[in-house]
Amino acid sequence: MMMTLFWLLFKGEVGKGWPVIADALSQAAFFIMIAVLFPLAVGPAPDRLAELAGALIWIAALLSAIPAFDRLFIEDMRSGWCEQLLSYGTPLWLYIYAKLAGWFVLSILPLIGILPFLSIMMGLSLASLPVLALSLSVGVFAMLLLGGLAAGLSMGARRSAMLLSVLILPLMLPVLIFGVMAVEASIAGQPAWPHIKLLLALCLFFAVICPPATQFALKSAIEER
Amino acid sequence: MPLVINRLAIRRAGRVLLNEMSWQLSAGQAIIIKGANGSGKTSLLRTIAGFIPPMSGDILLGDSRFDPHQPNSPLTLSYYGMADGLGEHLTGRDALIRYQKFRQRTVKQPDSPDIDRFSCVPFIDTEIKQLSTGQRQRIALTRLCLDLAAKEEDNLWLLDEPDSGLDTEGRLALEEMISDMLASGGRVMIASHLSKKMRFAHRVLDLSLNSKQQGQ
Repeated sequence: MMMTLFWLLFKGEVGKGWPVIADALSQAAFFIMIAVLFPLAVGPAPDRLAELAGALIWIAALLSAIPAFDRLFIEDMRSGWCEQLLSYGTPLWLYIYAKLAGWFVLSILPLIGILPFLSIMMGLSLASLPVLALSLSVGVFAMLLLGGLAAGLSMGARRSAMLLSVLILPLMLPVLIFGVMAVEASIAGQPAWPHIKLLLALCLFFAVICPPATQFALKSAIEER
Repeated sequence: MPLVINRLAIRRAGRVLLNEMSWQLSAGQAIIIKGANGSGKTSLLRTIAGFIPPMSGDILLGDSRFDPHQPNSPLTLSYYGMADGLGEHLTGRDALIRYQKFRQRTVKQPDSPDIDRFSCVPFIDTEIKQLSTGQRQRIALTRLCLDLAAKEEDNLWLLDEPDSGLDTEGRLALEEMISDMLASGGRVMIASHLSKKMRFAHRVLDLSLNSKQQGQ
């Protein structure tokens, strides 16, 4: 029964049509922008660029992910959809998982799609591409779990975007560190698995901790309405 | 099993809106909640719907605490409020089909004559965001018609001004729908300014009397 409900919610999130897809694409555009501007700023030094590339792509991915968090739940809260779900007896954490999973699918696909071009541009060898893609996917999902929590907590606060980045930044650091280490290990020809496993562990930890906390945050936001 | 409201008190934004109210709502009964703006009609409905925890007092179903958000709640709760949660990007038809799926019912087509009491057929395949307020409202009320068509459930309707944007025809349909729900053993609470016309009420709760006594 839970699976059917999840699938129903997930389909609803993915099938919202053009406005949401445009949001996801604009996130990818922001990602490209950061990743394109940086090499231009560093100047013609391929060696230096390749050294920085892993870190750079990670920072671009994380920064471009943040603006979307603000909007994750606002529309559903305002329209009364969350209240409707509660009255149907649908647990909100299930909705939160579906929301995050839906947004993850929509936002990570264009990002993975342009990753090969970016790594060529930065002089990364294509051999490290799988590690980069995998670590980014795991890392972005971990970020999304945190971002959902921050979005729930800052619901109803004015200037919530600012509050959100302050809330999320410290928690983001381990994700960033392990992610970059994975990519750098793979560039240096060392095994990246230990780092990716740590990243996965983090992601799982957040997957257990964050959605229930987000549910709590959303419920108190509903209470305040 | 009656729904028992026992010495319920609600506080919103530091102000006590309702104090020590007690009453019961049995199957097939309706209560109309009257009162000036800000007297706590919506807060009362939202408290019973479980969106706001009460300051004190209990909401019981028989002997046990009533938790409408449990997946297997003995009462099927339908909350109708200002924010309808229909889904802007959906058509009316999709929204109504989605509603039945979330309720885990067998899906009925919302344009069949026994369900379409609010004459939504002309705009049922239009996206919700393109509808007028009244049209949206009629789609949202059609969800209640679907409750009525799913006969095996024990319903609790909490309706926050369901009649505000409706034309005469819509109001008649609304009254008829509520009467039918009561006849089939449902429970209904309605917050409304236009309660004189509603003949089915078993009790009228006037909140403005309550809040005047308390002041701050």
